[in-house]
Amino acid sequence: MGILTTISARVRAPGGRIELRNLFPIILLFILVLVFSLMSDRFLTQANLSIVLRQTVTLLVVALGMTFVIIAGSIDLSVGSMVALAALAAASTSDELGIFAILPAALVGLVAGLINGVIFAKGKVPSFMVTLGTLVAYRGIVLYAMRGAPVSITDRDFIGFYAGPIGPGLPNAAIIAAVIAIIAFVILNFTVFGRQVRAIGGGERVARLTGIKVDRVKIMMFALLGLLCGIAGLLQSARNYAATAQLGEGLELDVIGAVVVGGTPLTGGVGSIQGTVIGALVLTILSNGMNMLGVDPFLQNIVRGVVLIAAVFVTIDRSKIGIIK
Amino acid sequence: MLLKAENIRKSFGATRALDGVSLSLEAGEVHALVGENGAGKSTLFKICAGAVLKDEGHLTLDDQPYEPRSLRDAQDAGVALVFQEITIIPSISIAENIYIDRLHEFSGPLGFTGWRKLRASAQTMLDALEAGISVNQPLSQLNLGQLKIIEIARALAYDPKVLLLDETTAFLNTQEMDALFAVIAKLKERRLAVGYISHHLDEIERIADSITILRDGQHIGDYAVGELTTKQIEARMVGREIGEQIYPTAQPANGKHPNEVILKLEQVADRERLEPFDLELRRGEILGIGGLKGSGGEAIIRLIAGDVPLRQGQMWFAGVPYHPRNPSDAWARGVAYLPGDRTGEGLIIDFTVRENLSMAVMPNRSGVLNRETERRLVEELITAIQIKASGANAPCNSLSGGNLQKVVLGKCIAPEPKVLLLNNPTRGIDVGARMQIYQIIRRLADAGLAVILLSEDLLELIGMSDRLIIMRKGIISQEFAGLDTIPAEKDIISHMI
Repeated sequence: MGILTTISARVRAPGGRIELRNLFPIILLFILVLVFSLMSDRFLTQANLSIVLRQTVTLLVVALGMTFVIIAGSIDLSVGSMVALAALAAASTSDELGIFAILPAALVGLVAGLINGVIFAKGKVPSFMVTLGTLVAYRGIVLYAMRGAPVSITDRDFIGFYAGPIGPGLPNAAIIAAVIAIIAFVILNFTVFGRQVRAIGGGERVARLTGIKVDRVKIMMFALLGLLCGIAGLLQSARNYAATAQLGEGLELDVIGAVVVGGTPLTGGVGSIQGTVIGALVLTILSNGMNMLGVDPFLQNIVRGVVLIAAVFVTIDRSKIGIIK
Repeated sequence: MLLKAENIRKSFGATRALDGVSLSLEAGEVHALVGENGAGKSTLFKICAGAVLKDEGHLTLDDQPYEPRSLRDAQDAGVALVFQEITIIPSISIAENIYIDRLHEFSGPLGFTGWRKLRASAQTMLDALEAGISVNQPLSQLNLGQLKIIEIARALAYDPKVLLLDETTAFLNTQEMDALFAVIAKLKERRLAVGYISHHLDEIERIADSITILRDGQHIGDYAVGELTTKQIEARMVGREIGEQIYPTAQPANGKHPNEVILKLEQVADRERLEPFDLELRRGEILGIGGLKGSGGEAIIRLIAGDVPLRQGQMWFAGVPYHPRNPSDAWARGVAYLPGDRTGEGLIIDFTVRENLSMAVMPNRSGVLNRETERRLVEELITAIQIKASGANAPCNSLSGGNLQKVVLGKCIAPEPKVLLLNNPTRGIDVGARMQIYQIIRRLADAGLAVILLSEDLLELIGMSDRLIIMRKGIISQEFAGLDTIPAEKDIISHMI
């Protein structure tokens, strides 16, 4: 079972028929690229594509982790606050640690994610409520620690490594994100943990009665998401040369949007990493293209909302869902 | 000819539930529908009541074409069904349950519900059933039989011409059953047509006028009550003379297992219904557990499976203290659990056959999935237990009930457990698949596996068990040891009620 068959199995319905529904994300991406490149000659330039990649990175890295959480049937609303926490950790240690500021950033994210996971799994509090609470609380920590003053980053190594290279080339951050995407793909499709995440989303009671340590898997997936938020926060702070109190605000909506546009339904059980990669690109290119065309920012929001609903409308498999809440 | 169904066909995915079945209910007559589990009885009733849409066939009501698209359609036309499953909503009152979708009929000029009128009318419906239930009682106080009575009241509240009862007596005690039969007799006088599904042929002889027999979705025949003996009815239900032959005989490998006790329970009780009890399970034996739903058999199994916590007592597994905190602990020790709800607890319907079969083995291997080992294991299982699927990667939602159950069974035996807990392993499965499942279970027991078989099917318990215990209200009311002393059905039932 190679990687290609794993991917193509996603696209095919029982019986080997290719389902258009499953191809929708990539078709949407293709259409967007086509439309924007026809309407603006600046869109398909190396300089702009480099910008698109830079813009995608934070969203993508977080969305990769969110894919696991959503496949298991849960949700994490606190990702934006975790990103801000990690950015703060990275920024405040970048002077001493240089590129190794990734360690405190990742650790802070991991711990924040662990806290989410433990309260959710052991405390039996719905993930929506847990992370709504930590969304506020983690942001509170950031605000309290910063007292309104952004922490700027001056370390050249740090910025050079995580935000470089400057110019229209392939950004390091995009390479890091791509590596993470490949690792996430392997984890979801080729490890016991990945299978267990899907089992929990497909039938938590079945998973439990079959001897899967459901609590442990849940904690692990929230910790994984926290860790990825840590890395995303670091990359974002490098791009901004600073950690700000507002960093990552509202990120959870874009992240969930990217996962869902990528064909992973919020009902759990199914989903894919490659879909999430496409979903993140779709959302970023949509903004990038509309900005380039000078679309009114308020109108942009309308378009994004419509695209989100349209994506779910097309990709959702209604035959498997009896009740839509 | 009140309600007539002709040549009804219905498939669920790959499973053909009904294959050209006919049924006709006359006014003033009780018509029984009999057949084994999975014969299609409930499906046929559901089609008549609009709960399931037929694929093919023709329905008439009073010689008029009758095409119910929903339960509501059927009720408006005068056909009401009492489902096999409990369909009471626990968070609202008894009266609201009875008039669940007709509350608007009780609203006053301002649109507020007239509670007094609603309760009075609900009470009238209940009193007609002589149930002794007051509408003011909270639902949580009622037992399953009383909930069933409320459902019957709800069906009668539509003032139907045709009343369909699906296994309604399964939850009732003798007294409630007598009351129900009295009500049915009255309904007959009022010229209602009553359709009646029950597994108990003695009930049918008591109240039914005619019988339709179904087998594996096929229409076997229509008979008047008294035309056939019980034995003949059973033979037509199963498709051959009922004998022991669908149950394989024990042929222990390497002689008898030396009665080695693998699982021992001492003064064990759970937090709900079980009174403290003792139990021993030996290698190579099949221990049957019988009893009415809710009498404690399932509680025992879930306790051993680590699904519910122990309140008191001590368990030993192969001589070592055994206190599973969750099912994962139980599996790790070699206790496999096949739950009663195949698709809700047993397997993940969106998973492939392969993914389901390897699910219980997976947790014991950390890290990376070894796809090659998985493939080999799954192929072995598919061959060994004869799962009919287009391949290991077939999605489970394409499989029939019998094959789904084989997948669950395969999942359970994949880690080579020492104890296998089975909760109604053949519920709703056709005879062919049942026989195969019986053979697999017996073969495993012969090889030294200890099996606990919880079943609501008495014949299955009698046919499969080496030893049989009967539960009543949370206590073991009787134990039948040794194959030779396996008793008659009637004796067993007397220990259940």
